[in-house]
Amino acid sequence: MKLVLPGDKIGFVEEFVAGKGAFEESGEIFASVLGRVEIRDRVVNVEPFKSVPEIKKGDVVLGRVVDMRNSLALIELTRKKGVDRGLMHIGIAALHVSNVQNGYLKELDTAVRYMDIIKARVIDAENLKLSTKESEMGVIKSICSFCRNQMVRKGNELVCPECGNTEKRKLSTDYGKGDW
Amino acid sequence: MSDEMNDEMQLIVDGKRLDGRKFDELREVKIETGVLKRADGSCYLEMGNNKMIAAVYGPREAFPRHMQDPSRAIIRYRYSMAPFSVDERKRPGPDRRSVEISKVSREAFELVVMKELYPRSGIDIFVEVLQADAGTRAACINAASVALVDAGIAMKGIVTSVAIAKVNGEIVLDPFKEEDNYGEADMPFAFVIRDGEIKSIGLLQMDGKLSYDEIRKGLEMAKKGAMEIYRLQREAIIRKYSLEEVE
Repeated sequence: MKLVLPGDKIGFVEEFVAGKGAFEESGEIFASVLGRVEIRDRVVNVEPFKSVPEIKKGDVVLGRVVDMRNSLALIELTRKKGVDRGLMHIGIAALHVSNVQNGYLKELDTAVRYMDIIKARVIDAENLKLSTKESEMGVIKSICSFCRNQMVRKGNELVCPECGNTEKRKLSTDYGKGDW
Repeated sequence: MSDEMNDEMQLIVDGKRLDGRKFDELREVKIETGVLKRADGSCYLEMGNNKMIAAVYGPREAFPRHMQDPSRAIIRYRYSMAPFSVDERKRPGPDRRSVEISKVSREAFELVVMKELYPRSGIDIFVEVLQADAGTRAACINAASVALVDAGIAMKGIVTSVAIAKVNGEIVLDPFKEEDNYGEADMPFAFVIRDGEIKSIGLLQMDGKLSYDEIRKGLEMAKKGAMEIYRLQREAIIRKYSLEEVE
């Protein structure tokens, strides 16, 4: 379909309804973003080449644990998987103990800790609730709670290469790969 | 004082300008989009001997938090000149001049960017002058405009800017350094262009004195020049995105 730039006229209000990426002014419809025109059911949308990522249910996101509550880890979201562009807002999402793993988890401390970097799936986009139940979800980077060095994976546990401290986490299969 | 200088500085010879252009002729403009990988939108622009690079980031979380507006995005524009952009080394960092240019340019963009679509966020525009040869604020606005489109930010039109000047009693379009330094007056414009039509003026400044008729004449000249630049801005964007589709 036709390529349009911001401000290009697409049509008149009598023809279409202005949808996404389009706006209406004095009876005419203009594009507001760079993209391609798509007309469906008399609604004109401009499909943008580059858009600002929005978090939806089912998205895989990356974030860091910024606070720990009794049964809740608060995670600052930074990226959405598949989009190479930062989010519009640093949303603070919640990971509840009941959503960490498939089995019962008594203490949240044994699965996630402060400053861990976590890969998770969004299960509620409105209230920003996360889940790490899948095997590829969970902690992908962690630091030792004693000496702050980066932890190394050994089997199902994490070992600190400096002080030898071992810690338990809900580990992602991507732990320590630097790729997610 | 400026009159004395004009006697010494003959800027128009045989009805032509020192660089051989006609009165209403632009310098050569070269625009390239998407030059910076890490920016959300970027543009490199050359206008004669002016060279600048623009980067757009956002909409992203605006810091400090108290600057956030719950109903719309805030726009930040930074015009900055590289120390090596002028003959004598320029002290880096913001000064009186660049702070003023940043403010007026930002206000031109606030007219077109649909800020209400991005509440609580910030859109950052950075423009760096790599080489200056008069009319840098106009060229920077043109570069920033293309970078904003490249970033996919919703706008009601495109901002295009051009300057006029009065040299040796003649009104000329897009002055270069000597005309700017030794001319009698200069006046930058920024226009909001929607669907190939100039809708409004987003920036207008003046240095020196111009009569009513001269401003009228200059405005017409600037409008013509701006439409030419607008065409080149469009071309640059379309060139990049149609190439990407072929790949």
